Amino acid sequence: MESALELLTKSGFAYFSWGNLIMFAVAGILIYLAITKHYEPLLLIPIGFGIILANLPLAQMGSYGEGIIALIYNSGIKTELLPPIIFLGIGVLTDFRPLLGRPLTFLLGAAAQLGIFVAALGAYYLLDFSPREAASIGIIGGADGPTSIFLASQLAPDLLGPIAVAAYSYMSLVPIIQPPIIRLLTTHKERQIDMPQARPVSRTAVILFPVVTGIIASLAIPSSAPLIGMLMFGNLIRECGVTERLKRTAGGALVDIVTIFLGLVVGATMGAEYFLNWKTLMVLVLGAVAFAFSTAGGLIFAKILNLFMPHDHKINPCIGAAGVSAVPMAARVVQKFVSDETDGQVNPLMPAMGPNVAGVIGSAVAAGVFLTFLL
Amino acid sequence: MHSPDLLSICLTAFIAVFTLLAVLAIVMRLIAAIFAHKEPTIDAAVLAAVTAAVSAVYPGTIITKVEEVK
Repeated sequence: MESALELLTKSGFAYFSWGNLIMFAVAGILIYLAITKHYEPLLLIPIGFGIILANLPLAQMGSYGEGIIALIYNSGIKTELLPPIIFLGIGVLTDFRPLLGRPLTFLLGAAAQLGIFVAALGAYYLLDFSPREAASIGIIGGADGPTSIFLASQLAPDLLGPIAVAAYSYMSLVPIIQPPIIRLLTTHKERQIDMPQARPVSRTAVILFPVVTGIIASLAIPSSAPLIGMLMFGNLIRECGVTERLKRTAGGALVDIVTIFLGLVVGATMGAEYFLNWKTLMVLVLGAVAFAFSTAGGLIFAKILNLFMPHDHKINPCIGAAGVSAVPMAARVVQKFVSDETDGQVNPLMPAMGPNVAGVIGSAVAAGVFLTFLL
Repeated sequence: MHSPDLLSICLTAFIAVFTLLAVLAIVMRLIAAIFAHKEPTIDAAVLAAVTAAVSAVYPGTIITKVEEVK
């Protein structure tokens, strides 16, 4: 009997708190959304289960403890290893032709980073976050999970969990967040602008793109090189046509393995003692602000560009909203919105893919600039 | 500790993103112009064979384009 009591006092039940229970509920919501709504399931399932693991008292399964998850955290996140490998996979899976066929859309991808800076400034000046924390929160507006994790792990490791959850949650909520903003900022006439097909791009140009971009971006902002360099390397092995095995591995097994580890350790940063505070709530609010301003930034800049474009080369401003990254979700949202509004007459999926993939480069560059000044 | 001026950092970062992507746009436009996409030319023997085959079924038809879809 005494042994049984001793076993009970040494069990996790004896140390289980209300905070742990609340975190189980948070994990349950993420897993529910992933399974029933298909919201970013590849990330939300590992993150959700990581939260459960981190909230098992005495189990040493949190990222900040001493167990196996902490081992992965220390060797994969703290060392900045995992996010760039995800970028390698993204490079393999991304077709940059829509961007290369319409280079003007590079600028829409830049304008759609506006939310990063608005949210960062709001966090710093209005909510008293430190500059490093504010920059890490702002990068949620880039709508790029690995970039958010990459920056937060270096500038604000204490906020890594909330930032990652906000980034991936809002990315999955793009179909809900963006349409009202697009509707508010565009007229019916603007939505009806039917853009011609982009000019075809030669294979040589497609192969030169990752090489040239990797060199120029990494020379300009060296801190962005881990992300941009790996993104462009991945794209080169996709496009060169002679590395089929590398392409298959980097875009398949490798990125899947890293996604499992990344999701699990990010979820495991969310022990109740780190997650349940007002800062988490503020991160979630600011993340939504960042997303909204990034969407508006791309849209408004497209409208400004239209002032200078000849009549037959006007841009459908809705495609500016796709500049928030979240590839390819944001482009699909724009396509569906415009198609629904025009009874299927206008279908800007390919034009929207241009700013969409430019946004990936834009947010990585913004993260690199923050690292340059704040690390 | 000296607190960095986040406003100027954000302004610099926004300008840097715009400038870098604008430079990439110009460079890629130049590369696309230099290495322009060429429409694949169809083999003369294939064109003759297709023309002969179609003319046999629809006499007088003029073949203007033969496209290979893989």
